Amino acid sequence: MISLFYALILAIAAMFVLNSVARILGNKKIELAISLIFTSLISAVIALMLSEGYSGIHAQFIKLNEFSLLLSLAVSLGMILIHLISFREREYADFSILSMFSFIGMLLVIMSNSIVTIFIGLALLTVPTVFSLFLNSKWVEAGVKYFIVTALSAGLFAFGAAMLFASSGSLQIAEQSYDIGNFVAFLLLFASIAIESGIFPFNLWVPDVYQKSPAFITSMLGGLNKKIGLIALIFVSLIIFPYASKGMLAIFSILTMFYGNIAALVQKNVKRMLAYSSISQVGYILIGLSTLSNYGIASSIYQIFSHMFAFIGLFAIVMLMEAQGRHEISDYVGLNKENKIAAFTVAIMLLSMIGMPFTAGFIGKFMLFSSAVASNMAWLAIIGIINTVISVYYYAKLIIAVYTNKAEARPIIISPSLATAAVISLVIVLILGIYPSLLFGLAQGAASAI
Amino acid sequence: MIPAPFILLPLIIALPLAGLLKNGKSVAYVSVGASFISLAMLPFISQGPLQINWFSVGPFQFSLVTNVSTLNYILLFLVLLLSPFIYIYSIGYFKNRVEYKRYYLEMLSFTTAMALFSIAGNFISLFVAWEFLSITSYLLIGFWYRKKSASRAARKALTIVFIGDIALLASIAIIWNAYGTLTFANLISIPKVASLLLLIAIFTKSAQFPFNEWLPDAMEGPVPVSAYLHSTTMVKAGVFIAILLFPLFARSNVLSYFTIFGITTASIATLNALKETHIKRILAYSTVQELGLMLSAIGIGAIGAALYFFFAQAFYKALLFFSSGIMIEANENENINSIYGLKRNRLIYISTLFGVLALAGFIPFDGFFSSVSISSSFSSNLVAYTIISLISIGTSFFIFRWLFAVSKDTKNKNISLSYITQPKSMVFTTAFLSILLLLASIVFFYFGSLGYMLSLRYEEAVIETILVALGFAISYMVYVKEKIVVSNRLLESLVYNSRLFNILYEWSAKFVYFISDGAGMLDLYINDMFDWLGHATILIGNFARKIENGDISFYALIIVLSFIAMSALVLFA
Repeated sequence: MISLFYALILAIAAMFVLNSVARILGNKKIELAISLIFTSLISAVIALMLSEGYSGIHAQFIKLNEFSLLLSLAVSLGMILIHLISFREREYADFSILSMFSFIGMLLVIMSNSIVTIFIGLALLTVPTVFSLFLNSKWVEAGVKYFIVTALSAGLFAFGAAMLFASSGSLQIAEQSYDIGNFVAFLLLFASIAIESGIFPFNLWVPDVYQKSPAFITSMLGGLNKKIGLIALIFVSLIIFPYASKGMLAIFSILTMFYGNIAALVQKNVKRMLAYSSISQVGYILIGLSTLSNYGIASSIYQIFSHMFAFIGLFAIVMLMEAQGRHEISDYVGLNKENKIAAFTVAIMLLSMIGMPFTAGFIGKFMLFSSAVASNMAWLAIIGIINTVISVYYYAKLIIAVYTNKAEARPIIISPSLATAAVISLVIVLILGIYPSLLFGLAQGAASAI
Repeated sequence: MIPAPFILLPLIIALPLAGLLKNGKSVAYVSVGASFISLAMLPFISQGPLQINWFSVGPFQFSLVTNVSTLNYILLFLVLLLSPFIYIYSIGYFKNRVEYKRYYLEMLSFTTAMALFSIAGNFISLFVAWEFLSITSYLLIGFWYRKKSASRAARKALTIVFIGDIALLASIAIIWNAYGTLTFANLISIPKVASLLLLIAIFTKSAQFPFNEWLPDAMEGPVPVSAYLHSTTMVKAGVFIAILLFPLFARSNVLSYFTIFGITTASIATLNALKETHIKRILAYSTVQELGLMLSAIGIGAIGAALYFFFAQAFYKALLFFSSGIMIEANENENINSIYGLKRNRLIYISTLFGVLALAGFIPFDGFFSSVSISSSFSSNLVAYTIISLISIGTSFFIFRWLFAVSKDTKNKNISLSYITQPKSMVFTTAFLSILLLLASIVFFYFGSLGYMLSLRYEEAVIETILVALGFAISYMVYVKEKIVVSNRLLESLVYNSRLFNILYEWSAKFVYFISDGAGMLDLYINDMFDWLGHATILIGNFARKIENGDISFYALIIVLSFIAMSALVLFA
């Protein structure tokens, strides 16, 4: 059993070494191959550990259980897609290695057993992302903004962690206890994580950074970094401060949902609209967390999965459009005539974000709302449904644009790596929508393992 | 042994595969291959129930249950046996029409849904399959959607069948509320309301009075669709449920409705068929009549007779549709009075003759056995027996009229040439079905071993032969010798083109319109209200856009300020 853990470490280390060698040789294809092979290998090891019910604590700062394994699996699958999406870019050679650091950061946050691990993980996640935004002078604006907010976030987190240590004398998550003295620590940690995951009113940077970043980094920011923030939030608010966070999470959930959806209504730029939409999705996920129930957390985990794949899959197509200089919603008109697969992917992913039956998003939202009802918070579910109705307006605008005919439509060719990423995420979104118990059982196990 | 749901896999895999192929012919070949693989898997599927948990909401566990019993197996066998025939026939039928891909994709999804329907073990899988049947039927009836009549017929079918869908859903909800289970095997009885709602569902799907009018209109679809969906498989879904849930219907005392409505429908359909001149619509009326007879037999508990009829009817009906497809192609006309020269192609003529004799009920074709067993089961009820005997004469009469009309000779060289040059895939599938037809009558003698009672009384057999011969004789006198002239004015006003029904439908439509007009007025106000709400929301959105001015120091300021505000609120509140 323990050997599986070492296999995981070994795979990660080998990935680093081999990828660095490939970088020095300067061959992008080998780099992609190594990244794909090892990320898949890591996913396979994690899946194996998950199926064997592996759990344990390593060196006091890493904790493996159903929860961390399931989410690590999600993150490594997400990373595979990110590699596929970014492969065609000129900056891929450097981005590949930087994203690998981010990947380790994500795994550290997910598997963390102490506050310090979360801190290191978040830093390891965000700093390479900032660096990859500095790879091209066109993205520097986004890079600087992201750098400033993450620095602010890290500062708040360090403060909070220090106060927790001062009050309990320990950095282990499990050994923290809630009392009024360290409540300020909670607020500091919460604000820090709220910046990472874009919870209103700490989310103002999100649309700017998402819009100015290249599509593949945006897909990573929205698909993975944001979700890691939410996982850190699960640790901080649900494990350390469960009672303090119940009402607070509900309030922030409502604010975030409304802000994201209403601001998205008037956007014309696709990436900016999707940035707002991802803010509102965080709001939905917070509904499940605020119930503090096993069912609610499981629904949140489900929605984290569903939005991750829908977002990354959609960005495979945004990537394609961006390469042709098409950024606005009106530029997407006639996509169906130009490439059927691209149009279908856009439609299904957006429908999943709306919550259309037979897509993962429907099951996620359904479970979230029903968990709110089950915890006597029906008003929260109603607000969620109102927000869903609002959101249909801007999602449908893009779907309609995609399926509107254009006078002169030349077929555009989608590169194999983008097509693979789009199809993989399509299949995942549809399978999770049609056969939810595949994941929901695991999510419930994960929720009870917290 | 293969678990039952695996039999759907070849068809499901063929769907995206066929979708990706560019060439229409290869789509057809992939579909034919998939249908053959499914058929080949059929002998190896394992019996008994199987449960797949889908998802759960609170106490409600959505699970797809499949079950393979003798009854399920018979329908599954019919569906999978006919599908290769239909698919191969369609290769020829669509030769001059460039719509292979859409057609085969819709057909594959239909076959998948029908196979799932045949192995349904609880109401959830039944409902899923049932809805897919409605949709695929709609798509296939309206296949030539550019034709106004076809799209209208498709809409009519969908509207009527949807009534049944809603009834089915309502009855499912009632059953769940009453007993907390939806698995057929666990249900001992169902509330009477639920069984009446199920009855409506059955009547809409199987085109029974007063929902019988969509089926003849459905003949707007392509010929193989009529042969497969609208005569042999999908329309029998209702009858299948009636047999499957027979004990439940019996316990809630609704069986007599089956008999009453079934015989009514059969009589109406027979009268309609007497006067109809469209080659496929005559067969459609005959299908409606057969479905009515099956349901009426179920109503008096003659499950064995109904089930054999259910089985045997498929072969001659498919055969007759196949041959009428060839005739339509050769003559480029669908009116039996303008169709000539069936005898020009001996093979087709003999196959068609087999089909006609079977439908009329001549010994030794399977139609004979089925109609004898049906009429035998009615022998104790004089009124019903008389009606069924009359229907028997009528059936024989109209189908021979059909045959006489289409086999009249012609001097037109083009027609006789085009009979000979019909695609081989169409001709040979038709001929092969006539062999299956004879095999089906042998099956009759082994049907008892499946566990269903079948009685064949000799006096009934004699009477049946006399009745059928009578029908033939009248038909011969009227249409070949032309010695008797039938005045159809009375029939015409009553049933011709079913004007009565269409008026009935119009009235009910007017009633619904009246209600919806009122609702529409209310809707306008609600609409206005939502307009205002929408405008207000967008105004707020514009305001939100102004906050995000792109200045990062402003953002940092907001973050710090909101942290302070949050702390102040939480700590001092």
